[in-house]
Amino acid sequence: MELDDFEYQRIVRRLREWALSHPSPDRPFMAIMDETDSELTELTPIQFAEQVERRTEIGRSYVSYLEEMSTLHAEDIVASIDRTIRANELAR
Amino acid sequence: MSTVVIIATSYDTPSNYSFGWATSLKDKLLKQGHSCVLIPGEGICAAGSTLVEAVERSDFVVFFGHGTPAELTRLPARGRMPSLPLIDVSDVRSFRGKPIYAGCCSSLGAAGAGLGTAYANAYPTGSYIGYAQKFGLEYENENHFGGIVVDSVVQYVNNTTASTVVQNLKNEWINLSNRFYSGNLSHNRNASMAGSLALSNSKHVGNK
Repeated sequence: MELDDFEYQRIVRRLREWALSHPSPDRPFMAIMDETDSELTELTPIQFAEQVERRTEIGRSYVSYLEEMSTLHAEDIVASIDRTIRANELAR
Repeated sequence: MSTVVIIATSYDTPSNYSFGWATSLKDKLLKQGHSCVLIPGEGICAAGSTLVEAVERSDFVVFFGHGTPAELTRLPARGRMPSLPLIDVSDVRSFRGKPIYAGCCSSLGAAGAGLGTAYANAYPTGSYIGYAQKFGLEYENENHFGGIVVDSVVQYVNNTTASTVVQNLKNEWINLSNRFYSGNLSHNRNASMAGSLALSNSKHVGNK
């Protein structure tokens, strides 16, 4: 089932908060080991949040993961993002 | 005991991490009594003598780096210059029918096309493990990604069948995803994103 827009925007807002709280918001933190000529292979926290906001393949894959896991664990869909925000705060 | 050739590139940050996994893999295999050669991929000519000689002397061929549906990539694209392959669908016979572990994106290929399919067509009794789509990793927790990859190659070299290695890999990626979401890694930095990438990897790994 498609996530409603209100919930989707909650995720986007939380991800922006995560990206801005990150110790290195402009440095790549993840990679896709794909060919290097056709698309971005590394993403910064800010770019990752943008991918979700733009509902790209990477962004949609992440939101599907949040839906699947939050349902499995019966918790708020943004709970794991909140944990990563706390991890950023502890790292400061 | 087996002879393993590992070819790995390290021309950017993600491939530099996977080159580290290749080094760790070599150490593990040597400690188990296997013979192992680690060759930096950038210096090998496609289908050239170094590649052919190394493959001919091996029982298993392992590649870590970047890939596309059609190739294992040796050097990246730059500007208008396309990427250069180590091996692509046109010279898949350079594999000499040896069991292949392609630790990179996409080289398993889609149904009816791609490097993995070309390998299966050329060597119907061979075995090839790879990823049908993207392979992802997260830097802060890259050791957990690498540990799963390295252990799966060790299983393969120790004569676990490709289909069993793939099933174990799927389970390990799902287990890692759960650990990032709600387990002992859930409070690591970037854990949520790392968990998503691990789950994605579980869905894309496969064999021919």
